[in-house]
Amino acid sequence: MATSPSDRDQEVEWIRRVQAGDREPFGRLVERHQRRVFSLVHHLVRRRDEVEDIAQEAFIKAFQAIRSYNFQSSFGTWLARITVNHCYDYLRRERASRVRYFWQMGEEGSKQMEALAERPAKERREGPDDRLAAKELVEKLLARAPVDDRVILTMKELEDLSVEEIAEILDLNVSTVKVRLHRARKRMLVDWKKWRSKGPATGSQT
Amino acid sequence: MSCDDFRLMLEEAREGAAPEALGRHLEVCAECRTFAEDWRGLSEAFRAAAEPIPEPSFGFTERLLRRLATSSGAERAAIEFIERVGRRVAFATLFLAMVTLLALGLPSTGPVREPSGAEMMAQAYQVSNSSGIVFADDTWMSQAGRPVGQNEEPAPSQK
Repeated sequence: MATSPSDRDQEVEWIRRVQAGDREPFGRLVERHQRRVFSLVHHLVRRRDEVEDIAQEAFIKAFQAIRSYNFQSSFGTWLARITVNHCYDYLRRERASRVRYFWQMGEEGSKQMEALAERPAKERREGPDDRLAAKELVEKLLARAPVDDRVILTMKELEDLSVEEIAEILDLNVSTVKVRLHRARKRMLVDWKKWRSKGPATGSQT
Repeated sequence: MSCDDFRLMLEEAREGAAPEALGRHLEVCAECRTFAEDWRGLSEAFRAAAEPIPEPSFGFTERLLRRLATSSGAERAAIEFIERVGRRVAFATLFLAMVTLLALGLPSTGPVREPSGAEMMAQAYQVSNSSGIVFADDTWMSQAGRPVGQNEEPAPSQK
């Protein structure tokens, strides 16, 4: 990412050359921003085997649209917007063909997650198995959530972006992002509490 | 302020110091305290779910630039045309090769010819001779290809 003024100047020059039809400097833009794009795709899609393909498609979309880039936002933000929109499309397609996580997880995974939800928070952060179970729990919660909730929560909680950055990427105003985040959290908490409330019930039966 | 407002404040407060009003509200509102606790638990799960970001594989940028080169206008059309024609040529070659192999692999029986009427008559004549049957007129037979002198009746001796 561009950090110093000279970096930014160089980036502007690369972008102008690409806009003029020179493909070569686009490679430098890719190398500068690929980590950010990979991170976004990885957190939004959560499918390691597809991250590279989706990132590549996002870069191709950016290349095709680069003439419309008008330097009003930073190139990184503009690229992140294209990446997030591409992930949106992917998630909607995936949602239409219905959630893999449930099927991949099976009964074993579900039981493991229920066990995690049953335990008190202090015990929850111990060992690689718990980390794996927490990861699966978050994946399951995200998979169940509406795509809009999933994207905004991922950007906030996993990408650790500020509300202002999210607003810029999603092309929304800051207060809309705050409200959407709040609603998404509320919905996800309902799901989270449902898992937690299963614990004592399951425990009393056995 | 409603509980929703305080919860919104709580979420924003994670990034900085909690406002005093929020602290006071949490002391008196059990529901909001539960909300805060639940949200903290979920945030922990999110943090536990963080894992290393996959690195681009070797040659990612080069592959991407190659793909961009092939996806631009005329070049792409030309490559698609070559690929399409190439595929057809390959299929035709494969088809011809299979036909040739099938033709070579089949047993070569050759054409079957019906025996002509004359040949059948000749065979019948030979059979009749061996069994002592005499045809009334065998001139026709000799014309039909029977070897001259073979199976001919001996001429009566003229004394």
